Amino acid sequence: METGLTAIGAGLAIGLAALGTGIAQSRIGAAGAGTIAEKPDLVGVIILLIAIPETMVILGFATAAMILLLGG
Amino acid sequence: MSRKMSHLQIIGLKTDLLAAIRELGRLGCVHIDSLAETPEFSTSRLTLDAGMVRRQEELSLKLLQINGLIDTLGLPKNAKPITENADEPVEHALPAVEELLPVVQRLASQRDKLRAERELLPRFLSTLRKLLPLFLSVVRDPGTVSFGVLVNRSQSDVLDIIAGQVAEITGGQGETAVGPLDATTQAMFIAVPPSGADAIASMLDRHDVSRLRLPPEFDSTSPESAIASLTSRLQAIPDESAAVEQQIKAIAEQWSARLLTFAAALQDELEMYQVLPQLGQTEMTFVLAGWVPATMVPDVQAALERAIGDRIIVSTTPMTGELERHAPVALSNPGLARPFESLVHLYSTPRYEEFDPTSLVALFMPLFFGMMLGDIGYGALLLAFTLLLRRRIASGMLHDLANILALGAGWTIVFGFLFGELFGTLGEEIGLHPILFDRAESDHLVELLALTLSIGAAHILLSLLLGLWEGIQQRNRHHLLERGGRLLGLMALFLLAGILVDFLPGELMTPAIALLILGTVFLASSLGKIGIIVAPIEMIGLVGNVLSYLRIAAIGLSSVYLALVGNQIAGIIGSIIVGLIIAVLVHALNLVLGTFSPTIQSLRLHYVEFFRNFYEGGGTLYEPYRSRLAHRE
Repeated sequence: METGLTAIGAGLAIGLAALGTGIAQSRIGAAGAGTIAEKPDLVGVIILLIAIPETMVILGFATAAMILLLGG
Repeated sequence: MSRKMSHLQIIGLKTDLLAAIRELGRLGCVHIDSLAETPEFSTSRLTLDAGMVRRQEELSLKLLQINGLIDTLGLPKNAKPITENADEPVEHALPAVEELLPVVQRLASQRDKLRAERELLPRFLSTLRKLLPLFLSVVRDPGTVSFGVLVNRSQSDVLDIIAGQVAEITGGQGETAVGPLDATTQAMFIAVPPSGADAIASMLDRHDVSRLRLPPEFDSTSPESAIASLTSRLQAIPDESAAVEQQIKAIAEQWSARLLTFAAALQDELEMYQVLPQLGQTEMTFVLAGWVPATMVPDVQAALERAIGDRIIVSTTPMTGELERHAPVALSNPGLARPFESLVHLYSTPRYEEFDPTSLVALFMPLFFGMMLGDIGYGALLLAFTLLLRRRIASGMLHDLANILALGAGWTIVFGFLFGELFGTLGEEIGLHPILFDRAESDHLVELLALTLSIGAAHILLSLLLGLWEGIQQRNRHHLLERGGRLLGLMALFLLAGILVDFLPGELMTPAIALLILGTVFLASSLGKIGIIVAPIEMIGLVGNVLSYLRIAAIGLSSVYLALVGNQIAGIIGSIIVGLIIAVLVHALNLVLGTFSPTIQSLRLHYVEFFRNFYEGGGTLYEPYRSRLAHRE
């Protein structure tokens, strides 16, 4: 039971963080697509802006790892 | 690092202006400053006189025509002008283009007409063949004018109205016939005497129906002969097209060198006129302010003296703080680091005399890339691909990217050996053992996380030390407090982490907390009134910055597990061939993801976590004015 709950907790940690990242990146990506259509030179900057919210999923991964290591 | 620049001041007679600009274009090393950015010159801006404006317009028109010719003849846009005729003056370009233009326009028009015929004629013939019984059902006298009408079946009652009006207009001398074209379309064929043709045409326009434009042959011969004539025409089109293409190709071969040279020469002339408003003037003289690498000042002086004589003065201005702020930056890095200059420019060009982080990016970015991908097989494939790409593409952004990925591939192979990975876990099958640890094993997760966090902490420590050093160099109190505070905070973090994992004795807790508080105080004093609220948040942000490096572990693990899944699926499938295909597809996908994602994430770590502590950028790139013809590559 405890192992199952630990696994669910770890899954939620990374899953919800990934959801947040996905929502953020979808909005940045949509705005970025419009920007690139008007100014193609900015494609490199836009790709990097899209990568910035990934910190959330990394922290989710760190939390999941901590749950599994310390709880499981 | 960036090259030492000298600020130039060139003063000459207006009569020598164009010769001086042309010579600077030939030299290709002077970055021309707009006079607005050099307030020490109190001269008025140089304006183009009416003759220059007319010349500019004439050259623009000729350039448009030449570019049109280059497009029509299908010459590659980015081809370099060839050396022959390089000295042919622009004046020879103008009559040559006048001579060629009508010939090429005629051939292009013929080619387009033939292309349109080749596309439309088959469909037209298909329609005519379907309607042939309809055409034959109408008796036509010689000289009869024919019309075709197509309507949707749902609107076929309009055909009865049209038939009635044809009879009325022609006094019963016109004939009509109606029949199906296909499942949805009804067709009507109308044959009328020439006297009624205009009235019938107007009547059909009023009804706003689709007209089937019948070929002129319909009125002079039988429908079968007309269709046969069109079929012959269709068969003749390929030969005619080939003949026209051959003529165009011959002209392209004969003229490509001259046209590309003319285009480059005209662009040089036009750019020269665009540069002129950046200069200053007095009644008799022009004044030019610019930048040149310090080592090239004697070359500029010698070249202008050779071209103009003693009627021109070239001198350097002593560097002041104000001038330094406007100085352009010419980066000069060793060969291996040079491809990474474009990545630094992508973020922001360094300011003059600011620390150039290119070498550090060249060191750490491939390292992080290799840690994330960390596989001997993927590294080898990527290395082979990038070396091939480097040979195919000699210069430009793609060549730089190939070099960057080649370095990354090298580190990927190194970490592949350290982690014992060859296409995921296939290495185990051939007896490959990790030198460091197998990151696919869950037992080694803590070691992997600790490794990436340590690297992250060291990377940030380096950036803070660089930031502190820059603050000392610039005697910037704000930077010293901010970066010093963050450095103390990071050291406190190290101590606290060491105490938590029992690596350091508990007695160090008090010094650790003292360091943290001191660091927060320094940071708060650098941030002003809001520092007391923002500083603790910034310290927590520092923890986030270090944790951000966990992405190296996360992306690495995702790559390993995807490879593992691919291998296991391939193993489960009964057939070797199908299994191999699946494995190749999964590994190919993993390689593409494993190239794209680590590149972006490594770059992101540099731009966000590394640069923020010491690098501001905002400089101007050194872009010397140069003639396209003189600087063919």
